[in-house]
Amino acid sequence: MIRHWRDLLPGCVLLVLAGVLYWVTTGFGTVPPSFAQGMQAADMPRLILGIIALLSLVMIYQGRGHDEEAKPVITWRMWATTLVLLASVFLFGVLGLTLTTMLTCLVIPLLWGERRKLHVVIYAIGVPVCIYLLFTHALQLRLPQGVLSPWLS
Amino acid sequence: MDPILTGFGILADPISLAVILLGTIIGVLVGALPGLSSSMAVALLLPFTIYLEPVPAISMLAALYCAGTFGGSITAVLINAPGAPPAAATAFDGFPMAQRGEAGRALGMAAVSSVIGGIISLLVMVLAAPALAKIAHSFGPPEYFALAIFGLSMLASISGKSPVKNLIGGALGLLIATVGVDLTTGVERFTFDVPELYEGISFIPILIGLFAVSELLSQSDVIDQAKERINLTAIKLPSRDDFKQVWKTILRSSGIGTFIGILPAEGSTMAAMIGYNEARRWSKNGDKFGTGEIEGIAGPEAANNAATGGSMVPTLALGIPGSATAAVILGGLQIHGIRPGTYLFENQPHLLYSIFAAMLVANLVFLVFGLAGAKLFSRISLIPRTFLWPAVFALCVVGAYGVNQSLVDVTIMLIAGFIGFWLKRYGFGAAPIIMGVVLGSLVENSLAQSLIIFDQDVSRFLGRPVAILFFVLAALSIFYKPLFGAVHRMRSGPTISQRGE
Repeated sequence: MIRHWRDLLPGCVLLVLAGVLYWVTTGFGTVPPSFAQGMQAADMPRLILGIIALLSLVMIYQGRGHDEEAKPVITWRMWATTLVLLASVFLFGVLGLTLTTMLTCLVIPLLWGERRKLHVVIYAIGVPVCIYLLFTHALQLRLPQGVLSPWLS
Repeated sequence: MDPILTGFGILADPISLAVILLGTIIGVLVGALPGLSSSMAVALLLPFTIYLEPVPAISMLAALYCAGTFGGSITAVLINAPGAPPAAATAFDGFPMAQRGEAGRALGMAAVSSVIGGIISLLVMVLAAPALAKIAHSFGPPEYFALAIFGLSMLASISGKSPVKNLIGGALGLLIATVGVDLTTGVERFTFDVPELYEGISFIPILIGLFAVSELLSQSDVIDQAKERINLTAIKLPSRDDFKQVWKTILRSSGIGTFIGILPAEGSTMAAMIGYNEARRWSKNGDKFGTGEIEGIAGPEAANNAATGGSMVPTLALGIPGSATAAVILGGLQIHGIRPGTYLFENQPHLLYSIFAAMLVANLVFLVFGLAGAKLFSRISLIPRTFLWPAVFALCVVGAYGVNQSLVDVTIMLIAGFIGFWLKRYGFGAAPIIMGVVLGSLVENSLAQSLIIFDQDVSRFLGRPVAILFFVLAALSIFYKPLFGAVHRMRSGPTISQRGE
């Protein structure tokens, strides 16, 4: 039954999102109309949320009677890549950009099935070094270096 | 004359010229790499242009935009894998030509058509943008609100499977633009007590996340396929006979591409498809299209490059992006404190000519570099994704971090990437969201100002003819498909019902 409602899942997610965010807007403060200059702070978000809800209903309606489209299978690689990216964000603060880039450039190719291990190692050293030289020295951009701060600045 | 000389003066400045050339080379390179688009490249490069003066920075992005559109045709012809969506139509006839040993001729035609299309659209840009800005001089907030709504409504007709999904994407973008302290009332909106969100969500992390990180996640599940790569012996510029055959197609497609580009939100991909279809419709050899017909290359290539200059017209004159990449460039203008529209043409008229000069140079340079380096670029396109994407991710992080030197921006980039991945999976594109984010403040501010002017009486919009015109156009762009569909069904009702469609 659900298979014959093509966009039911994204439509429902959007409707729930619109509902929750509408509820969040009820907590927005208000100011006297003379300060509001035409619109209270919550008015615009509510208008947009209303439009999103309406369009989501239209989308669900348009999808009735249509089978869910075949989508590419999500394998463990996508989830593992997601985890690596998430972990890298947490590591930036501690290890700094150069070391974290080195790790991601080492892990992601191996995760994606790269078999030339020596190439991966050279790549994992080369990319962060190039980024460090280009951005820190050529473009004078201060990048967080974490534990390497005493040596790389 | 002064603004023209000042604008072209950018070519006399070695640093500016160097960044334009760099933008062109990066553009061709990125365009040739399947999976990397010119929108993504402009998004990735945008944070680093902050360290440049505004004029060379915007010129570099504009040059990249031009060159990136052409770059896709190299791989479309040589490996049947368009480097970027606007080159998809080029592959229809480009690859069959390459298969029968005419890769050089196909690439030569692609380059020359692109250059002609690009230059024609630039001439239109330099003439039309100031004229349009002059017209917009009389616009008040109600007209700007209606114009922004028209711009967003055009999302319904951009390439993509579902107009409704494009409109939802635009609305999501508008919603993102409301995050932060409302400048009029001082009230926090969707900040969830995170101080970094008080000034709103930065444009760049969203941009990089939606375009690049979401694509990286998609690439994680791509299975490497061995591609048939045609060997390129020598590039061959179009012969006199070729020109005789295609000049009408090139001119027609240049006109189509420029017009499509000028329409808000419509970009090179749609221009190329229409350019290809029109070339086939008008050609004596229309039935041979798809088998390696030279007009099948000239049509889409002239159109997709003409759309780049065209899309800069509403971007510069009205602040309404003509395409997804133009939306990113508009974000760049805003970041550099440049206000598009009448203000731009009155206070920085030379910028238009600098952009013109940069795009002109880009067109001429990619003709040389693109042809001379086609062999190299086609090899670069074979870089394994296992090595390409981790480096792209590193650039994403530096780009997102670099603007505000904030790790929160890196987190926002990742969140935008994850959301973008799932949205894409369900048929929602990144471009409409970006358009919404870029137009968000214009929509809200112009509506609020209109309500003040109208003393909260919305019906007074009806007293503004230009605003009504834009609203009607907006309604048409949203409802023309269902309306025409209904009319068509009424006309051929019995036949359709008999078919059970």
